Amino acid sequence: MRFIYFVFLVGFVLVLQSTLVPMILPGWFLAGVDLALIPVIHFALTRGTLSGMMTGALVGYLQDAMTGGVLGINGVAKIVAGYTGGVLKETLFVRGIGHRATSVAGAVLFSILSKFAVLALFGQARPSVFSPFLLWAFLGNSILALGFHVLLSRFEVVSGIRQEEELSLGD
Amino acid sequence: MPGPGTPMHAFLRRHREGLLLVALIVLSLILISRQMHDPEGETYFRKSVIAIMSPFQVTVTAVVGSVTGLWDEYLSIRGVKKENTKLREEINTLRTEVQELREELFRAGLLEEFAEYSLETGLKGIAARVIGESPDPWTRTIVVNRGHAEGVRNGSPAIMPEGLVGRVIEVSGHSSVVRLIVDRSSRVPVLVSRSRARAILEGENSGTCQLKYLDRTEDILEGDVIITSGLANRFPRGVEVGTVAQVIRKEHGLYQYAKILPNAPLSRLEDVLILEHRLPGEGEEGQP
Repeated sequence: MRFIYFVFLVGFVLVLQSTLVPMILPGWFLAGVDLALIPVIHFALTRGTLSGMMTGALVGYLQDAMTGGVLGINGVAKIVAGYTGGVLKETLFVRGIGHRATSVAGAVLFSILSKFAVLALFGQARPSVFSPFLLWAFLGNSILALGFHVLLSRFEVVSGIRQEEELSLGD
Repeated sequence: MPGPGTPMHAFLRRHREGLLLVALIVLSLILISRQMHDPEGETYFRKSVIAIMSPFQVTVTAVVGSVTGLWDEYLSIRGVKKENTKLREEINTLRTEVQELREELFRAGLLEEFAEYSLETGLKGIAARVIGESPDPWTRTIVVNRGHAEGVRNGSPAIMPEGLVGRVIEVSGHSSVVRLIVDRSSRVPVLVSRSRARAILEGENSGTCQLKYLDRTEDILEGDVIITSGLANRFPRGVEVGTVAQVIRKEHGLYQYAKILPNAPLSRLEDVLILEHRLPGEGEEGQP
Protein backbone atom coordinates (compact mmCIF):
# COMPACT_ATOMS: atom_id res chain seq x y z
CA MET A 1 0.00 0.00 0.00
CA ARG A 2 2.75 2.40 1.01
CA PHE A 3 4.83 1.44 -1.99
CA ILE A 4 1.90 1.95 -4.36
CA TYR A 5 1.19 5.29 -2.74
CA PHE A 6 4.84 6.30 -3.10
CA VAL A 7 5.03 5.28 -6.75
CA PHE A 8 1.72 6.92 -7.51
CA LEU A 9 2.70 10.19 -5.83
CA VAL A 10 6.08 10.38 -7.53
CA GLY A 11 4.64 9.45 -10.92
CA PHE A 12 1.72 11.78 -10.47
CA VAL A 13 3.79 14.90 -9.75
CA LEU A 14 6.19 14.14 -12.59
CA VAL A 15 3.37 13.64 -15.09
CA LEU A 16 1.60 16.75 -13.85
CA GLN A 17 4.82 18.73 -14.03
CA SER A 18 5.22 17.75 -17.66
CA THR A 19 1.57 18.09 -18.70
CA LEU A 20 -0.74 20.24 -16.60
CA VAL A 21 1.71 22.85 -15.35
CA PRO A 22 2.86 23.96 -18.84
CA MET A 23 -0.77 24.24 -19.88
CA ILE A 24 -1.97 26.43 -17.07
CA LEU A 25 1.04 28.53 -16.14
CA PRO A 26 2.59 31.22 -18.31
CA GLY A 27 6.31 30.96 -19.11
CA TRP A 28 7.98 32.86 -16.31
CA PHE A 29 5.86 31.28 -13.56
CA LEU A 30 6.10 27.90 -15.22
CA ALA A 31 9.88 27.98 -15.17
CA GLY A 32 9.90 28.46 -11.41
CA VAL A 33 7.36 25.85 -10.38
CA ASP A 34 8.82 22.46 -9.56
CA LEU A 35 6.17 20.00 -8.43
CA ALA A 36 8.80 17.30 -8.12
CA LEU A 37 9.94 18.93 -4.88
CA ILE A 38 6.60 18.07 -3.26
CA PRO A 39 7.12 14.34 -2.64
CA VAL A 40 10.81 14.84 -1.85
CA ILE A 41 10.17 17.38 0.89
CA HIS A 42 7.06 15.60 2.10
CA PHE A 43 8.85 12.28 2.56
CA ALA A 44 11.83 14.03 4.14
CA LEU A 45 9.59 15.69 6.70
CA THR A 46 7.48 12.65 7.44
CA ARG A 47 9.92 9.74 6.99
CA GLY A 48 13.27 11.34 7.69
CA THR A 49 16.52 12.26 5.96
CA LEU A 50 17.24 8.92 4.34
CA SER A 51 13.78 8.65 2.77
CA GLY A 52 14.05 12.26 1.68
CA MET A 53 17.38 11.72 -0.01
CA MET A 54 16.37 8.47 -1.72
CA THR A 55 13.12 9.99 -2.95
CA GLY A 56 15.09 13.01 -4.06
CA ALA A 57 17.53 10.89 -6.04
CA LEU A 58 14.74 8.92 -7.73
CA VAL A 59 12.59 11.93 -8.52
CA GLY A 60 15.52 14.07 -9.62
CA TYR A 61 16.91 11.46 -12.00
CA LEU A 62 13.48 10.66 -13.42
CA GLN A 63 12.93 14.36 -13.92
CA ASP A 64 16.23 14.72 -15.73
CA ALA A 65 15.46 11.73 -17.90
CA MET A 66 12.01 13.03 -18.79
CA THR A 67 13.26 16.49 -19.65
CA GLY A 68 16.07 15.13 -21.80
CA GLY A 69 18.60 17.22 -19.89
CA VAL A 70 21.85 16.26 -18.26
CA LEU A 71 21.20 13.37 -15.89
CA GLY A 72 22.05 14.33 -12.33
CA ILE A 73 21.44 18.06 -12.20
CA ASN A 74 17.95 17.74 -10.78
CA GLY A 75 19.19 14.61 -9.04
CA VAL A 76 21.65 16.63 -6.96
CA ALA A 77 19.10 19.37 -6.31
CA LYS A 78 16.46 16.91 -5.07
CA ILE A 79 18.95 14.87 -3.02
CA VAL A 80 20.00 18.09 -1.26
CA ALA A 81 16.34 19.05 -0.78
CA GLY A 82 15.56 15.70 0.78
CA TYR A 83 18.59 15.83 3.02
CA THR A 84 17.96 19.42 4.16
CA GLY A 85 14.27 18.78 4.79
CA GLY A 86 15.08 15.69 6.87
CA VAL A 87 17.88 17.34 8.87
CA LEU A 88 15.80 20.42 9.58
CA LYS A 89 12.88 18.25 10.59
CA GLU A 90 15.03 16.36 13.08
CA THR A 91 16.79 19.49 14.32
CA LEU A 92 13.65 21.54 14.77
CA PHE A 93 11.54 18.60 15.97
CA VAL A 94 9.00 19.50 13.34
CA ARG A 95 5.45 19.37 14.46
CA GLY A 96 3.96 22.85 14.34
CA ILE A 97 3.19 24.63 11.11
CA GLY A 98 5.93 27.24 11.70
CA HIS A 99 8.65 24.63 12.02
CA ARG A 100 7.31 22.78 9.01
CA ALA A 101 7.30 26.00 6.99
CA THR A 102 10.89 26.68 8.02
CA SER A 103 11.95 23.15 7.08
CA VAL A 104 10.18 23.33 3.74
CA ALA A 105 11.65 26.76 2.96
CA GLY A 106 15.12 25.53 3.92
CA ALA A 107 14.80 22.45 1.74
CA VAL A 108 13.60 24.50 -1.23
CA LEU A 109 16.32 27.08 -0.75
CA PHE A 110 19.11 24.53 -0.60
CA SER A 111 17.66 22.69 -3.56
CA ILE A 112 17.73 25.86 -5.64
CA LEU A 113 21.20 26.80 -4.45
CA SER A 114 22.60 23.33 -5.17
CA LYS A 115 21.07 23.27 -8.65
CA PHE A 116 22.49 26.71 -9.29
CA ALA A 117 25.90 25.58 -8.02
CA VAL A 118 25.94 22.45 -10.21
CA LEU A 119 24.96 24.45 -13.28
CA ALA A 120 27.68 26.97 -12.49
CA LEU A 121 30.21 24.20 -11.87
CA PHE A 122 29.63 22.65 -15.28
CA GLY A 123 29.24 25.96 -17.07
CA GLN A 124 25.61 25.39 -17.94
CA ALA A 125 23.13 28.18 -18.65
CA ARG A 126 21.54 29.51 -15.46
CA PRO A 127 19.59 32.54 -14.28
CA SER A 128 21.34 35.50 -12.73
CA VAL A 129 21.85 35.36 -8.97
CA PHE A 130 19.92 38.59 -8.66
CA SER A 131 17.11 37.50 -10.94
CA PRO A 132 13.61 37.73 -9.42
CA PHE A 133 13.10 34.32 -10.96
CA LEU A 134 15.10 32.72 -8.14
CA LEU A 135 13.02 34.53 -5.54
CA TRP A 136 9.84 33.37 -7.26
CA ALA A 137 11.17 29.83 -7.48
CA PHE A 138 11.93 29.91 -3.76
CA LEU A 139 8.65 31.46 -2.62
CA GLY A 140 6.38 29.65 -5.09
CA ASN A 141 7.86 26.23 -4.47
CA SER A 142 7.96 26.75 -0.70
CA ILE A 143 4.27 27.60 -0.63
CA LEU A 144 3.40 24.72 -2.94
CA ALA A 145 5.51 22.19 -1.04
CA LEU A 146 4.16 23.32 2.33
CA GLY A 147 0.55 23.28 1.14
CA PHE A 148 0.85 19.83 -0.37
CA HIS A 149 2.78 18.55 2.63
CA VAL A 150 -0.06 19.59 4.94
CA LEU A 151 -2.65 18.03 2.63
CA LEU A 152 -0.70 14.81 2.13
CA SER A 153 -0.01 14.49 5.87
CA ARG A 154 -3.70 14.75 6.60
CA PHE A 155 -4.54 12.34 3.81
CA GLU A 156 -2.00 9.77 5.01
CA VAL A 157 -3.26 9.88 8.57
CA VAL A 158 -6.90 9.72 7.51
CA SER A 159 -6.30 6.89 5.02
CA GLY A 160 -4.15 4.93 7.46
CA ILE A 161 -1.02 5.03 5.32
CA ARG A 162 0.83 6.62 8.22
CA GLN A 163 0.03 6.64 11.90
CA GLU A 164 1.61 9.76 13.17
CA GLU A 165 0.62 12.82 15.02
CA GLU A 166 -1.75 15.20 13.28
CA LEU A 167 -0.41 18.50 12.18
CA SER A 168 -0.38 20.97 15.00
CA LEU A 169 -1.09 24.57 14.06
CA GLY A 170 0.96 25.86 16.99
CA ASP A 171 4.75 25.67 17.28
CA MET B 1 33.21 -3.11 5.81
CA PRO B 2 34.25 -2.50 9.44
CA GLY B 3 32.75 -4.86 12.01
CA PRO B 4 30.24 -3.85 14.65
CA GLY B 5 31.66 -2.09 17.68
CA THR B 6 34.69 -0.67 15.89
CA PRO B 7 35.15 3.13 15.90
CA MET B 8 34.79 3.17 12.14
CA HIS B 9 31.45 1.42 12.37
CA ALA B 10 30.27 3.88 14.97
CA PHE B 11 31.42 6.76 12.80
CA LEU B 12 29.63 5.35 9.77
CA ARG B 13 26.45 4.82 11.79
CA ARG B 14 26.58 8.33 13.21
CA HIS B 15 27.26 9.99 9.90
CA ARG B 16 25.40 7.56 7.70
CA GLU B 17 23.09 10.13 6.14
CA GLY B 18 25.79 12.75 5.66
CA LEU B 19 28.05 10.21 4.02
CA LEU B 20 25.22 8.99 1.83
CA LEU B 21 24.56 12.58 0.80
CA VAL B 22 28.17 13.09 -0.13
CA ALA B 23 28.27 9.77 -1.96
CA LEU B 24 25.13 10.51 -3.93
CA ILE B 25 26.31 13.98 -4.83
CA VAL B 26 29.73 12.75 -5.87
CA LEU B 27 28.16 10.01 -8.00
CA SER B 28 25.84 12.53 -9.56
CA LEU B 29 28.69 14.89 -10.31
CA ILE B 30 30.67 12.09 -11.91
CA LEU B 31 27.66 11.18 -14.00
CA ILE B 32 27.17 14.78 -15.02
CA SER B 33 30.83 15.10 -15.84
CA ARG B 34 30.68 11.99 -18.02
CA GLN B 35 27.73 13.39 -19.91
CA MET B 36 29.62 16.60 -20.53
CA HIS B 37 32.17 14.58 -22.48
CA ASP B 38 29.65 12.15 -23.97
CA PRO B 39 26.24 13.81 -24.40
CA GLU B 40 24.77 10.66 -25.95
CA GLY B 41 25.50 8.57 -22.85
CA GLU B 42 22.84 7.08 -20.57
CA THR B 43 20.35 6.99 -23.42
CA TYR B 44 18.99 3.64 -22.33
CA PHE B 45 17.89 5.02 -18.97
CA ARG B 46 16.34 8.06 -20.58
CA LYS B 47 14.51 6.02 -23.19
CA SER B 48 13.17 3.64 -20.55
CA VAL B 49 11.87 6.47 -18.36
CA ILE B 50 10.27 8.21 -21.29
CA ALA B 51 8.73 4.95 -22.50
CA ILE B 52 7.24 4.28 -19.07
CA MET B 53 6.01 7.82 -18.44
CA SER B 54 4.77 8.77 -21.90
CA PRO B 55 1.46 6.81 -21.77
CA PHE B 56 0.59 8.62 -18.54
CA GLN B 57 1.61 11.92 -20.04
CA VAL B 58 -0.52 11.25 -23.12
CA THR B 59 -3.52 10.37 -20.93
CA VAL B 60 -3.18 13.37 -18.65
CA THR B 61 -2.56 15.67 -21.60
CA ALA B 62 -5.67 14.36 -23.32
CA VAL B 63 -7.79 14.77 -20.20
CA VAL B 64 -6.42 18.19 -19.39
CA GLY B 65 -6.67 19.18 -23.04
CA SER B 66 -10.33 18.25 -23.25
CA VAL B 67 -11.07 20.00 -19.95
CA THR B 68 -9.23 23.14 -21.01
CA GLY B 69 -10.89 22.86 -24.43
CA LEU B 70 -14.28 22.82 -22.79
CA TRP B 71 -13.26 25.69 -20.56
CA ASP B 72 -11.96 27.69 -23.53
CA GLU B 73 -15.19 27.00 -25.37
CA TYR B 74 -17.18 28.12 -22.36
CA LEU B 75 -15.09 31.27 -22.07
CA SER B 76 -15.45 31.90 -25.77
CA ILE B 77 -19.24 31.48 -25.57
CA ARG B 78 -19.29 33.81 -22.60
CA GLY B 79 -17.17 36.28 -24.54
CA VAL B 80 -19.46 36.09 -27.56
CA LYS B 81 -22.51 36.51 -25.35
CA LYS B 82 -20.95 39.51 -23.65
CA GLU B 83 -19.99 41.00 -27.00
CA ASN B 84 -23.45 40.30 -28.33
CA THR B 85 -25.05 42.12 -25.40
CA LYS B 86 -22.67 45.03 -25.87
CA LEU B 87 -23.41 45.22 -29.60
CA ARG B 88 -27.14 45.08 -28.95
CA GLU B 89 -26.79 47.95 -26.50
CA GLU B 90 -24.81 49.88 -29.09
CA ILE B 91 -27.46 49.17 -31.73
CA ASN B 92 -30.18 50.40 -29.39
CA THR B 93 -28.20 53.53 -28.58
CA LEU B 94 -27.56 54.19 -32.27
CA ARG B 95 -31.20 53.56 -33.14
CA THR B 96 -32.25 56.04 -30.50
CA GLU B 97 -29.73 58.55 -31.82
CA VAL B 98 -30.93 58.02 -35.41
CA GLN B 99 -34.51 58.47 -34.26
CA GLU B 100 -33.61 61.63 -32.39
CA LEU B 101 -31.74 62.98 -35.39
CA ARG B 102 -34.65 62.18 -37.69
CA GLU B 103 -36.91 63.97 -35.28
CA GLU B 104 -34.60 66.96 -35.21
CA LEU B 105 -34.44 66.93 -38.99
CA PHE B 106 -38.18 66.78 -39.21
CA ARG B 107 -38.56 69.62 -36.75
CA ALA B 108 -35.92 71.63 -38.58
CA GLY B 109 -37.84 71.13 -41.80
CA LEU B 110 -41.07 72.15 -40.13
CA LEU B 111 -39.51 75.23 -38.59
CA GLU B 112 -38.13 76.15 -41.98
CA GLU B 113 -41.62 75.79 -43.39
CA PHE B 114 -42.96 77.99 -40.60
CA ALA B 115 -40.29 80.57 -41.30
CA GLU B 116 -41.07 80.56 -45.02
CA TYR B 117 -44.76 80.80 -44.29
CA SER B 118 -44.16 83.73 -41.95
CA LEU B 119 -42.13 85.48 -44.65
CA GLU B 120 -44.74 84.86 -47.32
CA THR B 121 -47.73 85.87 -45.25
CA GLY B 122 -46.17 88.45 -42.97
CA LEU B 123 -47.64 86.59 -40.01
CA LYS B 124 -45.36 86.30 -37.02
CA GLY B 125 -45.53 83.61 -34.46
CA ILE B 126 -43.71 81.05 -32.37
CA ALA B 127 -43.34 77.39 -33.05
CA ALA B 128 -44.85 75.15 -30.39
CA ARG B 129 -44.66 71.43 -29.97
CA VAL B 130 -47.77 69.42 -29.25
CA ILE B 131 -47.30 67.80 -25.86
CA GLY B 132 -50.77 66.44 -25.25
CA GLU B 133 -54.30 65.98 -26.45
CA SER B 134 -57.64 66.31 -24.80
CA PRO B 135 -58.39 63.41 -22.51
CA ASP B 136 -62.11 64.01 -23.18
CA PRO B 137 -63.38 62.44 -26.42
CA TRP B 138 -66.13 65.07 -26.57
CA THR B 139 -63.69 67.88 -27.09
CA ARG B 140 -60.89 68.26 -29.65
CA THR B 141 -58.11 70.22 -28.07
CA ILE B 142 -54.35 69.92 -27.92
CA VAL B 143 -51.77 71.11 -25.39
CA VAL B 144 -48.65 72.85 -26.66
CA ASN B 145 -45.38 73.60 -24.88
CA ARG B 146 -45.52 77.37 -25.22
CA GLY B 147 -47.35 79.61 -22.80
CA HIS B 148 -47.57 83.05 -21.36
CA ALA B 149 -43.84 83.20 -20.69
CA GLU B 150 -43.12 82.68 -24.40
CA GLY B 151 -45.63 85.30 -25.52
CA VAL B 152 -48.72 83.18 -26.14
CA ARG B 153 -51.95 84.97 -25.34
CA ASN B 154 -55.50 83.78 -24.98
CA GLY B 155 -57.20 83.75 -28.41
CA SER B 156 -53.97 83.42 -30.41
CA PRO B 157 -54.58 81.50 -33.66
CA ALA B 158 -52.67 78.28 -34.21
CA ILE B 159 -51.82 77.40 -37.78
CA MET B 160 -49.69 75.17 -39.94
CA PRO B 161 -48.40 75.98 -43.40
CA GLU B 162 -51.11 73.65 -44.74
CA GLY B 163 -53.92 75.47 -42.99
CA LEU B 164 -55.66 76.68 -39.87
CA VAL B 165 -55.39 74.51 -36.78
CA GLY B 166 -57.37 76.27 -34.09
CA ARG B 167 -57.21 78.89 -31.42
CA VAL B 168 -55.64 79.17 -27.97
CA ILE B 169 -58.32 79.00 -25.29
CA GLU B 170 -56.22 78.58 -22.16
CA VAL B 171 -52.74 79.87 -21.37
CA SER B 172 -50.49 78.99 -18.46
CA GLY B 173 -46.82 79.74 -17.77
CA HIS B 174 -45.21 77.43 -20.27
CA SER B 175 -48.09 75.67 -21.98
CA SER B 176 -51.36 76.41 -23.68
CA VAL B 177 -54.52 74.64 -24.73
CA VAL B 178 -55.54 75.02 -28.37
CA ARG B 179 -59.08 74.30 -29.48
CA LEU B 180 -59.00 72.67 -32.89
CA ILE B 181 -61.28 73.82 -35.67
CA VAL B 182 -62.95 70.40 -35.67
CA ASP B 183 -64.08 70.88 -32.04
CA ARG B 184 -67.83 71.21 -31.74
CA SER B 185 -67.45 74.59 -29.98
CA SER B 186 -65.22 76.05 -32.66
CA ARG B 187 -66.59 78.86 -34.87
CA VAL B 188 -64.46 80.36 -37.62
CA PRO B 189 -65.65 83.11 -40.01
CA VAL B 190 -64.64 81.95 -43.49
CA LEU B 191 -64.91 82.67 -47.19
CA VAL B 192 -65.24 80.43 -50.20
CA SER B 193 -62.04 81.41 -51.91
CA ARG B 194 -63.39 81.20 -55.49
CA SER B 195 -66.81 82.93 -55.00
CA ARG B 196 -65.96 85.00 -51.90
CA ALA B 197 -69.20 83.75 -50.28
CA ARG B 198 -69.18 84.22 -46.50
CA ALA B 199 -70.07 81.53 -43.97
CA ILE B 200 -69.24 80.15 -40.54
CA LEU B 201 -67.20 77.00 -40.11
CA GLU B 202 -68.22 74.79 -37.20
CA GLY B 203 -66.48 71.70 -35.89
CA GLU B 204 -68.15 68.31 -35.80
CA ASN B 205 -65.83 66.63 -33.30
CA SER B 206 -64.86 64.22 -36.03
CA GLY B 207 -62.28 64.74 -38.74
CA THR B 208 -64.46 67.22 -40.63
CA CYS B 209 -66.17 70.57 -40.20
CA GLN B 210 -69.45 71.94 -41.42
CA LEU B 211 -69.92 75.13 -43.37
CA LYS B 212 -73.00 76.94 -42.01
CA TYR B 213 -74.96 80.07 -42.73
CA LEU B 214 -74.05 80.04 -46.38
CA ASP B 215 -76.78 81.67 -48.42
CA ARG B 216 -78.39 79.07 -50.66
CA THR B 217 -77.91 81.34 -53.65
CA GLU B 218 -74.13 81.44 -53.17
CA ASP B 219 -71.88 79.61 -55.55
CA ILE B 220 -70.03 76.71 -53.94
CA LEU B 221 -68.68 73.52 -55.46
CA GLU B 222 -66.92 70.46 -54.22
CA GLY B 223 -63.20 71.08 -54.20
CA ASP B 224 -63.53 74.77 -53.46
CA VAL B 225 -60.95 76.10 -51.03
CA ILE B 226 -62.18 77.68 -47.80
CA ILE B 227 -60.14 80.50 -46.25
CA THR B 228 -60.51 82.66 -43.15
CA SER B 229 -62.43 85.88 -43.69
CA GLY B 230 -60.71 87.90 -40.98
CA LEU B 231 -64.03 89.10 -39.64
CA ALA B 232 -64.16 89.99 -35.94
CA ASN B 233 -60.36 89.83 -35.87
CA ARG B 234 -60.43 86.31 -34.59
CA PHE B 235 -58.15 84.93 -37.28
CA PRO B 236 -55.91 86.58 -39.85
CA ARG B 237 -57.48 86.98 -43.23
CA GLY B 238 -56.77 84.57 -46.05
CA VAL B 239 -55.47 81.58 -44.13
CA GLU B 240 -56.48 78.35 -45.83
CA VAL B 241 -58.80 76.23 -43.73
CA GLY B 242 -59.97 73.33 -45.81
CA THR B 243 -61.56 72.01 -48.95
CA VAL B 244 -65.23 71.43 -49.74
CA ALA B 245 -65.87 67.68 -49.67
CA GLN B 246 -69.65 67.75 -50.09
CA VAL B 247 -72.30 70.40 -50.69
CA ILE B 248 -75.65 69.87 -48.94
CA ARG B 249 -78.50 71.91 -50.31
CA LYS B 250 -81.88 71.04 -48.83
CA GLU B 251 -85.19 71.70 -50.63
CA HIS B 252 -86.27 74.21 -48.03
CA GLY B 253 -84.45 76.78 -45.96
CA LEU B 254 -82.40 79.93 -46.42
CA TYR B 255 -78.97 78.32 -46.24
CA GLN B 256 -77.00 75.58 -47.79
CA TYR B 257 -74.32 73.53 -46.02
CA ALA B 258 -71.05 71.92 -46.91
CA LYS B 259 -68.73 69.34 -45.42
CA ILE B 260 -65.22 70.65 -45.18
CA LEU B 261 -62.07 68.60 -44.93
CA PRO B 262 -59.46 70.58 -42.95
CA ASN B 263 -56.17 71.09 -44.77
CA ALA B 264 -54.02 70.78 -41.64
CA PRO B 265 -53.34 67.21 -40.51
CA LEU B 266 -55.27 67.66 -37.26
CA SER B 267 -55.18 64.02 -36.20
CA ARG B 268 -51.37 63.87 -36.27
CA LEU B 269 -50.20 67.27 -35.23
CA GLU B 270 -46.70 67.52 -33.86
CA ASP B 271 -45.82 71.19 -34.16
CA VAL B 272 -47.90 74.28 -34.74
CA LEU B 273 -47.24 77.94 -35.23
CA ILE B 274 -48.90 80.15 -32.61
CA LEU B 275 -49.48 83.55 -34.18
CA GLU B 276 -49.05 86.81 -32.33
CA HIS B 277 -52.26 87.67 -30.68
CA ARG B 278 -52.57 91.19 -32.06
CA LEU B 279 -52.62 90.87 -35.78
CA PRO B 280 -51.07 93.66 -37.83
CA GLY B 281 -53.59 96.42 -38.41
CA GLU B 282 -56.27 94.63 -36.46
CA GLY B 283 -57.84 95.43 -33.10
CA GLU B 284 -58.80 93.40 -30.07
CA GLU B 285 -59.66 89.76 -30.34
CA GLY B 286 -63.08 88.27 -30.18
CA GLN B 287 -63.97 84.95 -28.68
CA PRO B 288 -63.99 81.80 -30.83
